[in-house]
Amino acid sequence: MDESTGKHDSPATPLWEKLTGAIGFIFICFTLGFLIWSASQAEEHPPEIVISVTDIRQINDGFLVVVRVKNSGTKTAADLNLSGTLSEHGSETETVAARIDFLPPNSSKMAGFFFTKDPSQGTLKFRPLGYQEP
Amino acid sequence: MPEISVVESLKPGDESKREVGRAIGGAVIFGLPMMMTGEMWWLGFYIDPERLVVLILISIPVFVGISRIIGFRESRNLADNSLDVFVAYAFGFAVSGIVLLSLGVLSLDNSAGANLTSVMLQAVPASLGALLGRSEIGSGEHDRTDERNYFDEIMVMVVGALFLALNVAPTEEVVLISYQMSAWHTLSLLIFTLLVMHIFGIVGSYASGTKYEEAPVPFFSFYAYTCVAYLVALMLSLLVLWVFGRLDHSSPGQMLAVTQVLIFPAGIGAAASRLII
Repeated sequence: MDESTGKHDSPATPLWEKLTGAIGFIFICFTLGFLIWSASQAEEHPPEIVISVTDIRQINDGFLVVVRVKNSGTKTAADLNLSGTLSEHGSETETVAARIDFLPPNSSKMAGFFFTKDPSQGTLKFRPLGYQEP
Repeated sequence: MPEISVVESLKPGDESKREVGRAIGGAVIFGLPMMMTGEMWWLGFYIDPERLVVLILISIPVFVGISRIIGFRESRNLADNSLDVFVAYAFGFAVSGIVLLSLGVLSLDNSAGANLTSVMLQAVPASLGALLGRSEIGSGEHDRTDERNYFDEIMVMVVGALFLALNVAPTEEVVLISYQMSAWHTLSLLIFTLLVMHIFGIVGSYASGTKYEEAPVPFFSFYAYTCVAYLVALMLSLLVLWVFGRLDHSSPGQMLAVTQVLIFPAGIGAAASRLII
C-alpha cells in the first residue's frame, strides 16, 4: 500500500465513487458479455430486406408512399437501393427509387417513394435492388 | 465578507460535486467530436463485435496506466486506479448515451444491440475524457512532471496519440487521402511527421524539465523520445484502424499508406501531449 501524504488523498473513498465505479464495471461486463455472445452467433445471414407500406398520402404533384424497410438478416446493408413499381392491369406504369445509407441487422428505417399516378388505382410492388457491405 | 465566506464554506461534499462536473465535462469535450461524426454512428452498427471487445479490453489496462500518472490521487495502488477507470467508464456511458439520444442516433427502430454497440463505441473516448477531466490537469495544482518515470512518459504519449487518432481514424478521409498519395507523398509525410514530432519533443523536454544536453550519443533525444513516440503512435494507429475496419481487404502497400496517414496526427499528438499533461 502506498503511503499517502498528498493533499488530494482522502482516507476513505467516497461512497458515490464506489457506486459509480460499480455501475461502470457492470456496464462493461454486460457489454462485453453481449458482444461476445453476438460474436459467437456463428451463422451469418446476409441482409434480408422486408418492405411494408405504412402510409399513402396525396401531396402537391402526386402521391407519397411511406414504407418501413426492415433488415432481418445478421449483417448490415449499406447503400441499400430500393425500387417501387406501380402497375395497372399487369403492365408497369411507373417505377421510382429510394436509397438507405445504413440498415443495421434487426433494425428498420422509413423511406418514401414519390409517385405521380395514384397508387390506389393499381398494384404497388417494392423490392431491394442491391447493397454494399459497409 | 460574502465572497470569502463562500470560499471558506466548501464542504467535503462540494469536492465530490466538483469532481462529477469535471468528469462529465471531460467526457463531453473529449467525446463530442466523435459523437458528432457520422462514420462513428455507422461503425456502431456494423463494427465486428470481436474488435470492439479487443478495444475495450486494451482500453482498461491503458486507462489504469493513465490514471496512475494524471495525479488524481496520491496513492497509486492498482485498486484505486482501477476504481477511477470504472468511474470514468460509468460517466463515459452516461454521457455518450445522453448525447447520442439527443442527436437522434439512438432509435427504437434500431435493434437494442445496435444501440448498445453505438453507445459502447463512443464510451471508450468519452471515458478517457472523464478520466482526464477528473485529474488535476488544468487546475493549476497539477505538477507531477518531476515524479514521472519512463513508463509514465509513455502513458502521456498514449493519451495524446489516442486523442488525435480516435478523432481522425473513423473518417472516410483517412482512406481517401491514402488513395491520392504516391509512395513519395507517403515518404515525405513520414519525414515531416518525424520532424514535427522531434520539434515537439525538444520543446516538451524543456517544459517537463527533462534535459538531454548530457546526451550519451548524438541525437539521443531523437531515439529516446521521438522514435518511442512514433512507435506508440504506430501501434495505436494500427489498433484503431483495425478496430474500425479501415485495413480490411487492403494490399500491404495500401495498409502502410493508411497507417502513415493516421500516424501523422497520432504521432504529433503523442509528441505534443507532454506540453499539456
